[in-house]
Amino acid sequence: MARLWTGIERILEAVISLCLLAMVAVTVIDVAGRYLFNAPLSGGFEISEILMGLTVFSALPLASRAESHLAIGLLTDRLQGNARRWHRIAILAVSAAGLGYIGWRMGVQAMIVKGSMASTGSLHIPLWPVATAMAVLGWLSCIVTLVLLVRALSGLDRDAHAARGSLE
Amino acid sequence: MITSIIGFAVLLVLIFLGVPLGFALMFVGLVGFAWVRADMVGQALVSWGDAGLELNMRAVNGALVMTGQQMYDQVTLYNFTVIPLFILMGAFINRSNLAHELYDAANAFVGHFRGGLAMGTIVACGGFGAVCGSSLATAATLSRVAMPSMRRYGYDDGLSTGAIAAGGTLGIMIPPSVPMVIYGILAETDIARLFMAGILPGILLTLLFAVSIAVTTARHPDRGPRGERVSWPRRLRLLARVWGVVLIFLIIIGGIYGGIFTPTEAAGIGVTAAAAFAIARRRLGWRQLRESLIETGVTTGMIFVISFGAVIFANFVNLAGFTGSISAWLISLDISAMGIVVAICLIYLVMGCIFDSLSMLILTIPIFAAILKPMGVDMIWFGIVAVITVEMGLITPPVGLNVFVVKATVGDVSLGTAFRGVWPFVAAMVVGLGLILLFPPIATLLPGLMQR
Repeated sequence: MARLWTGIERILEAVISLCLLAMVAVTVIDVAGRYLFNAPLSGGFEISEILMGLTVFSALPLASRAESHLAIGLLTDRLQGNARRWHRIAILAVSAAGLGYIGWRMGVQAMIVKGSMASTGSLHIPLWPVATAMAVLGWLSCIVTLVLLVRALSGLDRDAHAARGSLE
Repeated sequence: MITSIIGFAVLLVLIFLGVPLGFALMFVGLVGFAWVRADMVGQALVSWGDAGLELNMRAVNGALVMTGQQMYDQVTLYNFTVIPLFILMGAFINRSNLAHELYDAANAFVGHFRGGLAMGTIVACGGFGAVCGSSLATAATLSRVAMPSMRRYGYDDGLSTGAIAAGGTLGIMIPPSVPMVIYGILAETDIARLFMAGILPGILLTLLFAVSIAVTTARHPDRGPRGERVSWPRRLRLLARVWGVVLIFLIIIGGIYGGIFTPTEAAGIGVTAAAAFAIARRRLGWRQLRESLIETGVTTGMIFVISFGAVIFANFVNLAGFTGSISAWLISLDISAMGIVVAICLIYLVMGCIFDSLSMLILTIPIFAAILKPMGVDMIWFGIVAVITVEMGLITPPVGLNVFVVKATVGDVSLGTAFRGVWPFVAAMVVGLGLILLFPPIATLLPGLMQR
């Protein structure tokens, strides 16, 4: 289990890194092409959009594993012992439901996109594989959270805190 | 109207129970949207029928389709691509260890004044903020850089930590700034113009912070002794060492101002420049590169989860007629737009006790923009007002994130001392905010000069 997760984590990290680097490259090549060679990268922005979508959804399972979804801990940070454990279990359950919902709706969205054969405007990249990847990653985040939930219910990870991410 | 208020109440309860913001917004928005959808055609969302409880499936489907479409649209919106790029640029700048040079250069010019080292801290924060879009990163970096030397000169801990925490807020005011990008997208306002609008208020706040240090040290000279005077040749030498920051800032802001780049393109160029700079200084190896990329990806993911929820929730309150009726009500009351903006500032100050700046903007801007736009409020000007007010929340108790970061980085300072030291700067921010409210051109002059 731990090794499987480490593998998934490495893959997701690689996807995020490559997407971000590619976004930078696409933007720079576009600008350089336009001003230096009078030949802008046509459809560069479409690639950027797809890359950003993949970055965001690849980050979801990592954020879910780290339980770093942004939450306000003003009233609940000081919980101790059993209260803290059950609070964390409740938050994990809500988070799993939320992530499952995202995965579900993205799946439906992928179906809509596939049915209409939608593709990007100038490069004609088909969009359904992108939407499908997002749905899969949404479901993966849900599963990660469910694993944490099951572990918490069976009395493991008692030291862990409920989600308390910070954005900056 | 009642539905919206119940929605807000449930949302607040969920948030206080520690439910992650994004999910709380998403669920309340989803249920609320379905409820209003059913209500609009005179039906109930849940009714008691032949087969027990029955859900109004048409309304539920409407809500499901809306949320799915909203999430998919947002995550593939070109305007949003600027966010990960600017975050990545900040991550590279952070690792390139520029802050030391900035601090040395700033001190060379102002260090010999009374309280000069604290003023130097403020100026260095402003310079760092010019290439880094995050307030907390600015405060954390300058804590490590400026605190030791202020201690060495016998500066009062409260004054030192206050200056660092307040200076950190300049990171958001002076472009490029991630919160401004988010404001621009949610309020459907031109990001390039917003960036220009932030420059003069950023300089104004820097000056006001320096004034409040001067006032504090004039009353208590022992809190901020003079540093050494530095000769002009040495000053210029130190100034020359920060060329990288100046260059990156000029490329980004000059490029956007002149209409050469869009903000996204400027961010892409900025990332490249920041990476080149960090590599040249041997601060960006494979390990740091990997860390920067993953950190950026995860932060972007977190921002998007909240923004999914915020847009779904905003769709609910808009459909419920909340924003429309508030807007119409305010217009009928014949209150000046200024009065409403001041009221919104007060709401932000209260919210600042609970939320951090980015979530506050993401939560409120879709709603406030829908209320203010029909009233003819200049959304660029309001953006600057909102950013300053939200920033004030970063340095005021009980949540004051910047102060916590400074305390955590410095270590042996009590939270009480840190918050005590920050008050003169809060006062300076209130003065700055007042000036911008009274004289909108401080914010709108530069964007007005831009080419169409």
